[in-house]
Amino acid sequence: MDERGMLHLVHEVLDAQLLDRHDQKIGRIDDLVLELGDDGRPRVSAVLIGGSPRARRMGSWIAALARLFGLRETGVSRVPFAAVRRIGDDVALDVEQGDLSSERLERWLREHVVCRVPGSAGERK
Amino acid sequence: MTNPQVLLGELVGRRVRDDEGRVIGRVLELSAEIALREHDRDYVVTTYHVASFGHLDRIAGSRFMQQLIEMLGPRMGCHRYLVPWDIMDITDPRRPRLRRPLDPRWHQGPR
Repeated sequence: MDERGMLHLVHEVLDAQLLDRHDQKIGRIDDLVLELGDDGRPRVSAVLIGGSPRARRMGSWIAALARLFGLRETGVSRVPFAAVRRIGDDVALDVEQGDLSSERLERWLREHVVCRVPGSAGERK
Repeated sequence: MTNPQVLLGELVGRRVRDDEGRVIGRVLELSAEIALREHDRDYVVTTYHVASFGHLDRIAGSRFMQQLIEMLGPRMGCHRYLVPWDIMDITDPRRPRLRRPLDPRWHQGPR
């Protein structure tokens, strides 16, 4: 955010590290929902975490692979932008990590994929 | 009735056309500011940053290439427009377009 309080949504918010209520890392912002008001002006209404928005940002072939394996909107966490506590180097949300549906995917990946990678013992929680 | 919603990820990088259908650049950035409301505050979009990549537009589809080309700046024919929010129609985020002709005052010049 610059000195005028202006926020650059792509450079400063998209892909920013997210922190939960306890300042624990809970992923990154994979997309933002812009709601068009009655006057047509877009406002930032929600943050999307995980699921198909993440696959789309990682590349079209990964998005296609995700669809092939049935990764749909159920893996996406949608957090109202009103839950944002602080925007800086990280974006802090007023949510609990366990409340996020995307967290279930992250946990599954940790337990079934990451932990099987040689040298990943430090990733286990 | 809910208001229309657009995903930022579907909008960024898209070609922007003027009111006559000519491509003027690609959406690179959105600036937003806090608007105080009665019981809350909102971040509302104020400006769209539209980057023109000149003859390199064909390879400027990814954010990486867009940033690389912008770094090279005017030598590569790259410049920016700062388009006010009320001039840009994003109801179809894959095809953003201006509601009226391009205004030279929006030109920001080379970085």
